[in-house]
Amino acid sequence: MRSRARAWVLGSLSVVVTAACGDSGGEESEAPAEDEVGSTDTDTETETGTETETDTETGTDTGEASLLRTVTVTLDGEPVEGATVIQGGTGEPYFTDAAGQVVVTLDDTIPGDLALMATHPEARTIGQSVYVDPALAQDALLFELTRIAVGDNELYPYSPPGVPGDNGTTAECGHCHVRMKLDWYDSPHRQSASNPAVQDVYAGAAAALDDQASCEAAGGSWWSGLVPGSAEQAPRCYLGAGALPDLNPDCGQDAACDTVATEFGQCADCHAPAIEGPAGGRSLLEATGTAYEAGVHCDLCHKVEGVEPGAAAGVAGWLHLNRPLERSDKIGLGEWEVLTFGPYVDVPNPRMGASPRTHFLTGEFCGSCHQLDQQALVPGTSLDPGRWPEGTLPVHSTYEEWKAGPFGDIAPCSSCHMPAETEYANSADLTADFFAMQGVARGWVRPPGATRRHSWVGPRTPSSGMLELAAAVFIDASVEGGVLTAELTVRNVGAGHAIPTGEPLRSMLLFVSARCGDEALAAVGGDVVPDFGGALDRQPSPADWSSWPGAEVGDVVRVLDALGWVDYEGFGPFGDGSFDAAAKGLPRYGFVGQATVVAVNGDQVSFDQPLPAGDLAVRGRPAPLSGGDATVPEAVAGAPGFGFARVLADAEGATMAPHHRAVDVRSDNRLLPQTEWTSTHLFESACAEPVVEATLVHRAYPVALATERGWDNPQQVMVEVSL
Amino acid sequence: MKRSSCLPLAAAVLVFACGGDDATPSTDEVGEAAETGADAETETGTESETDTEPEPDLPTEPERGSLFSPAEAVDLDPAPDVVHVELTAAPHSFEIAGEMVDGWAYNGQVPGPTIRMRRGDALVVDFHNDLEDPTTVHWHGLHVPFEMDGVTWQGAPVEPGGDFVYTFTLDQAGTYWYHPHVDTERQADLGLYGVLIVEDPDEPVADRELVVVFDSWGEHDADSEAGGHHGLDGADLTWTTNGLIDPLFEANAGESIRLRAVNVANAGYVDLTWTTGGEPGVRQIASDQGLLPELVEAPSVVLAPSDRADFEWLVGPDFAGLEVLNQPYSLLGAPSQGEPLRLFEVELAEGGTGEPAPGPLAWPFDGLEPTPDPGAGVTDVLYAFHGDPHTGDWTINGELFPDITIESLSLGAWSVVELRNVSQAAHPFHLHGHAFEVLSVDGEPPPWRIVEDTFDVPPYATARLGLLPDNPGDWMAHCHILPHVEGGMMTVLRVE
Repeated sequence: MRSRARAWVLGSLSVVVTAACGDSGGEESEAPAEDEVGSTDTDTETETGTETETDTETGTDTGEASLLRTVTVTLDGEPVEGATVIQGGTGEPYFTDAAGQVVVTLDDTIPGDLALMATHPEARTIGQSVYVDPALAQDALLFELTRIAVGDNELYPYSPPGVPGDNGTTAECGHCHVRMKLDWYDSPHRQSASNPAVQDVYAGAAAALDDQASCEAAGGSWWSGLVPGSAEQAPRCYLGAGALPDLNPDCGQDAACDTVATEFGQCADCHAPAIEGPAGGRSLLEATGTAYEAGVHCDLCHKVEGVEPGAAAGVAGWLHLNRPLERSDKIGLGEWEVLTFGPYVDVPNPRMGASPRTHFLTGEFCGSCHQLDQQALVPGTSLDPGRWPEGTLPVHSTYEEWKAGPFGDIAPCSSCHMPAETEYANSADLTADFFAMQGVARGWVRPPGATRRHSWVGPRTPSSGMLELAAAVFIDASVEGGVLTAELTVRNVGAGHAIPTGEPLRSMLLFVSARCGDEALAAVGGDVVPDFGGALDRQPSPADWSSWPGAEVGDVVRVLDALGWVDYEGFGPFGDGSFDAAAKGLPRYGFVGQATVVAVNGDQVSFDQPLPAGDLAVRGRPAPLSGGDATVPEAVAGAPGFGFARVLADAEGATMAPHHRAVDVRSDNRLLPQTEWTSTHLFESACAEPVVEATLVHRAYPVALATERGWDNPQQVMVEVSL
Repeated sequence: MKRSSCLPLAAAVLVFACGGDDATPSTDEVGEAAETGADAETETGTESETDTEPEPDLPTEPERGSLFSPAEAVDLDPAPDVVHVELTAAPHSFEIAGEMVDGWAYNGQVPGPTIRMRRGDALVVDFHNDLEDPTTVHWHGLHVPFEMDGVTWQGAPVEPGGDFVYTFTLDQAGTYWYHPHVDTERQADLGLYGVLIVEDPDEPVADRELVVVFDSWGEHDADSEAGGHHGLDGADLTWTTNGLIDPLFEANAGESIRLRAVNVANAGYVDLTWTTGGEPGVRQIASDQGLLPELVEAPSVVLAPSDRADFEWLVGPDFAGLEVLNQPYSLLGAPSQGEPLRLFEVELAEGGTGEPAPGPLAWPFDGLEPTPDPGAGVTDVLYAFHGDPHTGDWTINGELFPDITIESLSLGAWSVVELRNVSQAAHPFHLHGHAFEVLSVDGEPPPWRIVEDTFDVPPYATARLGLLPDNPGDWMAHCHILPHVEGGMMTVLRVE
């Protein structure tokens, strides 16, 4: 039987104030020496109350008995039932009875510190050393938990996560949680506030147009306004729709709304939830410093003590913040008692002030900001009660799509979006020698994969390959009478929610082509990329399509027939029988023919071939996969292919509108989990065995909006297939 | 696994007793020994005394068992092309690491008796269920008729006290195994498994053959209901080799050895590697479905649950010993932290012949190149894997067995099955009744032609398999991490 002579005291009773982690980056280490961390045996016994006697037979000199400890846990001085007692490194919890007691069998084979700890959701976890030595018998242990002050402290300053390349100090979460910091830094969560697209749509601005000439050439206004992320004002380009000018009618006509707006929408409640001060209802432009640079960061998420699904999104209601209210008298741990909510019950490090919560492993936590049913926000607009009797539109619905699908009770969001970290023993990964990490200050060795990467892999982390895993495309082709009929089936095989995801503005486009050898085949019919694929403009029939103001050489004019409506099964009323095909709002067009502009003379254009007759002509650019760069989005509505999107419409009827303007979901044919859609495409075939090629791409933003604001807006290829 | 205190180590290796030139006794040889401790002690040599007693105040090293191949089943049919064996599943107590285990066994031994036959032979197995639970025998990796596959999909298990005759002819060669396919997680973990070897007359015969069965323990409690520990990913496991912890195998200089390794663990991976002072090299010659296309010298070989691998091993006089190690490997399917665990050790036998290492054996490798992946446009069946250790639910195409959609393939039409793993655990995908070729993993062709019946799909990876569906039936297709199967990760692929 091994003897453990080293002692230390933790938790609220501890005098230890710098149980800091070490340092992997060559920075100055703040880890205390072992004797600094510990206290004397006398201290331990006195402070932890090991003089408490129990009737349990423990502490004998037999090996079995010396492993038993009777543990009593109190909460604010009263024995508490249901408290968790656990030995660090074992992962096996015990729970106290009505008398606040439980008998624990120690495992003296684990590497690292031998320690017991007690925790309760209403308290911070505390721990004590234990000894497996009859001469130092601790046959009874008392854990005195103190109830956390409930409430939210608006004076609390969030701890910054830190940045790559600088491990900083223990004031930063990333000082110890290095890998998590790096993962998070590359994740979209960090950019939730600083993403230029978010700020542009919020302020009605175009940051990319950073000089007056280009701004005004694009139709923008060069006004003085707040520079995102700072309190500074500077000339900026204001252009197009924005939450502030749209929600505040008294501004935005001749000056920016940034400093005078009073209606902010709910943007900041999720995009900048860590703005200090009151939680919720803030302006995104109040996000400065860490709130701007770090977006959704460590100290914000781990200050969430509970979730309330269905309440106002983000920190305005769904997420219950409990920033610590107790002032700290411990040197080096800040003005307020540290308090960190997390999934584990065995984190007694006083630096953390940990209190366990189960919601971190649930989709309900993520749903706080990935679910938003929204009323009409623009003054003077309203929803059609016939279509939206609840008075709200689903503008973010990823959570509900997941919940209603086959994975709702099976695989929470983290199952896919937070990959297992198998190379580190726990989240504190300062040292490559993980054995040295085992213990109180540096965490226990957890089962491989228990530690999750905080990378939130998905469409915005292209290297993760998540988009490629999400969809599959199947081809079925036949030739008859010189016509190739290709049936393309797109299936959502990988995502636990719809694809594209239920966040606004996303779309997924399928391009289909065919060839005999190297010779491209002309499409002669079949499904096409819907309107949300983007068009430079449209002209209905009858019209003189040889007159086309604004056309340029190289433009493609695609002629389509209107064939009614696409009857699909989508999310919510688009799939539950509430809407008929017309109400589902996705026009079905059939490809008739196309021609390329080869000459322009004023408004008159010449094509490389005569345009056929049809119901509608759409001007766009060549499809990106017909010799162009697949990562460059173009206006491709009407091209042979198909598409999937939730189409939000504003009061003026504009589609793919930013969601703050939305008064309708015009259509929503996104593919729910494990569902598929088959489109049909016809080509004139000169050979018996033509090759059909298809490419499925994902777009984060509609091409028109991205073009207007100058966003770097590559589209990502999800699937490329040929047959 | 239910354990109780054990008497001092004595006959820990009853069923691994030595016999015959290939160090493999038949079950009738060990059967009597198993019933008489004295015999067993004699055979396992535990009567050997040392001159010095351990110092009483020093920790005593656990006695190491000697490694032998599991005893083989007796062929009751004298016909040269028929192998007829009897197999009885029954409760059985055995010892692991000084603890008595109330487990189950085939013919009173764990691993069960190795069934040895030759390509083209007919196998007849008179199976008797002496358990209090229904069970079956599934012939893992063998292309048997559907009704002989030992599954209860469209069939009934063998009830307690019941009998069933499994009979089929095999036109394949390699190292396979058998186990129940009812309540599999629990029944296999309790000890119901054995090896089936199909020899190919065209393959050279090594001087000796060593069959090793790796199993992990601590995965299941015999008293618990199946499926109660889906979150075990990462649990500490005790590994045994033929039921022994870190046994010792003696090799002789000058001999060639064919090592047949099987991982029967419910969930644990074996990442085999070797430490040796030089010769002999350990070279892989075969995997799940027989000989590889070429000799492979790899620094390590990962055996996912249910995987097999054969190795050639040429022992020379300068052999300085060899350790077969299990590198730390996460149950999630990736290298992990921790110290390597020695599965067994090999030493040169004292008084070895001193003969030089034999020359390489002339394995009839076919040298075939991998079949090119025809591309994503050719995909006949797609299975996507999801799940989470916290919920214990694991799905194929979002479905939990038995509430599944049956995908079909046309009999005789070469097909492509795509596997997408959208989860953070690896999933060793096993298809019954067929072999398949790995066409690509994440778009990359394999380094050599890989033909398997179980293929480990890494987290967030896509594997594409080429398959000739030449065996009609409703074939189970599932992850062979058995807790994942209990969590729902199984479906049916129909060949018609």
